[in-house]
Amino acid sequence: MELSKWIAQTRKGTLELGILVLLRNKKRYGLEILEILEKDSGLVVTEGTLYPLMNRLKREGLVISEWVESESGHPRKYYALSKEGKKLVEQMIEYWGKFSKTLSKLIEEGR
Amino acid sequence: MKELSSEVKNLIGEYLIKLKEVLRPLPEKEREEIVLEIEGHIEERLAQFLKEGKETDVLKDILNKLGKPEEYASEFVTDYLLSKGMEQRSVIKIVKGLLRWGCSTLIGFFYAFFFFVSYLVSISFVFIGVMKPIFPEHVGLFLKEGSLEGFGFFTSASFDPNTQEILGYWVIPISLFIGIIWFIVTSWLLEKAIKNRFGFRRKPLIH
Repeated sequence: MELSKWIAQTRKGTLELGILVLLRNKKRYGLEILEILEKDSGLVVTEGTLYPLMNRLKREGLVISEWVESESGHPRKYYALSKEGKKLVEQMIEYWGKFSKTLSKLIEEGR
Repeated sequence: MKELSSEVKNLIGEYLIKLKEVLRPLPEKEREEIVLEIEGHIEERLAQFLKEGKETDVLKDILNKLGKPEEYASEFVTDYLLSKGMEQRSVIKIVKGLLRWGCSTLIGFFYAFFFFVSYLVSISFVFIGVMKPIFPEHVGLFLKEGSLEGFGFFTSASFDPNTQEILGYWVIPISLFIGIIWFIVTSWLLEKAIKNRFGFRRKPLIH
């Protein structure tokens, strides 16, 4: 398997988790999420992917949205976790913790 | 915020009008929200990057990252058609959604092709069952000198003296049964494929 392909798959699988985690304690708007993901993480995402993905998460009932007036002069669409989303993200975080621990252990043992 | 030049305003306007147009399958309210959200995105990004270059270049870069309106809208429309289609049990929406999915990704193409062929097979079986009473000589399971010649509807089968039809009117219930079962299994697989697209959903599709 090519490295780039594997990286693309891993990113895709973890992007949703990254987004949901960002919304865990705070409502955020699209550009804000995009900027955090662009800056601080390897979860590279483009605007052409992020907005449709937010729309899908909303359709799936994991996030809710509301329009808020802003100082930029244009209202912003803020996203927050729904009840179902909150429950799911906690489960995902728990799973991720176990998963990464196991994997790190395997890597250590394999040295 | 600095006043934008009319050239930039026109370019944004063009993009948004085109986007709204290609989002046509969606309900008015959803279309407006998608357009409004992206309008805000474009304006904020412009304000951020304005010092870095010429206004029109900055804007073109922003629009490039979004993709053409058709590309940008594609996911929204496919998601809408498939999820609403499932919710309303609307064959038209599901077919349209599948076709769009088929045009956008390889996996979508595979699904669209597979389900098209599979439904065609199930309809063919039903067709055979329906045609038997109308053209009894031409429909059935045909053997020629002990080996299988064919199953189905043949225009010339009965004219070959060595060919024998062995099922008789049993063809009707058998092919109708296979056709209906095939249809149900295909629909079940289609539902799974669509649910798979919406990865996290556990509950039935509600919006």
